[in-house]
Amino acid sequence: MKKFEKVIYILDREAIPYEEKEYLKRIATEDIDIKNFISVHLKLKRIFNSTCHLDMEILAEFILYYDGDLDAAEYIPQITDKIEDHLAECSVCNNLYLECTKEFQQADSFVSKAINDNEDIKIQKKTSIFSRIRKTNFRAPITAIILLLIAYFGMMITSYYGTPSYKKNVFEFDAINISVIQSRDTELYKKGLTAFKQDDYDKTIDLLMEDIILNQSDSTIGYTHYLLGIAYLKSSENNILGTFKSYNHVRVNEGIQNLMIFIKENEGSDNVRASIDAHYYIAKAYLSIDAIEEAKKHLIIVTEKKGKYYSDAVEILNVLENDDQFKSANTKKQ
Amino acid sequence: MSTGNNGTEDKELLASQVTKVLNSLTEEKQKIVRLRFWAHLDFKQIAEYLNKSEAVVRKSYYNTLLALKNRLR
Repeated sequence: MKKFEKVIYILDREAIPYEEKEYLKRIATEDIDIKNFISVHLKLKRIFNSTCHLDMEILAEFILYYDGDLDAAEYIPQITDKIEDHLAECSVCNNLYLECTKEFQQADSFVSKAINDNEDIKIQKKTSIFSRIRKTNFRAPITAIILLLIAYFGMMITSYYGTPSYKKNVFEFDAINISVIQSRDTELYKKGLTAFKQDDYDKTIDLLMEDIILNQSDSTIGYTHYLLGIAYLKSSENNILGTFKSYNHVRVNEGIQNLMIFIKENEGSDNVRASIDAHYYIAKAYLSIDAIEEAKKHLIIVTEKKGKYYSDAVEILNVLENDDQFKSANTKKQ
Repeated sequence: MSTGNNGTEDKELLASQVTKVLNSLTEEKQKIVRLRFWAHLDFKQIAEYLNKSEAVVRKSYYNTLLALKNRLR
């Protein structure tokens, strides 16, 4: 049982560290029950994350809770935000919610009076909000909107000119080695590749993780690490209102680790080019988190081995060198 | 790159398959799975809700997932 608990603890983490991944692989080989458990857990997690329609029972409890019913489940307050967000995004569930609320009101005539009172309050609130908006002088909101727009464009300009060229669209690799990413044939890998092509990187990560844990001894498992590494990098990017970009360091490091594993697994194979490309992706990963010296090491490998990203790597190294010269000149002046 | 409608249809199909599989479980097991994966509740919270001990809920969860192995393909 303790083994299961540790496995669940690991599987619940947002990003699984390398050592724990190795632990899962080892334990899955030793114990078929654990292997099956991990497989089903990852599958359910993926399905619930991707389909994610509101569960009927949770929806029913939410309706009870929303109507002030003290019998509603105690866990509902903890997930109210999640449910409301989902209802705002998902028309299927929102329609179901409206339908259920209506049926609930019709079914219980005693409670419906209370519900109607509640609705009246809501309508009154809405009416008063609208009338307030109408009465308000429009000058203040318009000024606020103009100020917001100025601030937004200011942020865009600062972001554009303040971001070094090598960090702009850092993970938009325009020529991911197609022959490499199509070199593996397991069902999970193929599904992961499909999700990757649909830009659904979270799903890609779930599927490829499952592939690695369940098929670790396959000779072509390195390709899963390759694609997983790129998926982690692409999923690490956060965009603040289309202006400043930030990168999730945990995911970037996961990406780097997986690409390093690919390079190691690919040693001695005929497909040397793929390893050189992986070095370029690793360099870009380091650039995204401002680990410039680490990035340089990998860029130098790309230039020495004359990979497909040779000219990009040379260009970035030149920019980094100019930055260094600029910084050292400034230091001397001071 | 997006497959648009196909992607949505696939998700809907998957969702209905999972619903079928979950419906084959006892009501309590369904609740445990749904509260774990949809609501992200921990075992302590699920145990409180179901009025069971945490150990019972954990054991039921492990057994349920193992039992689902052959039904989820």
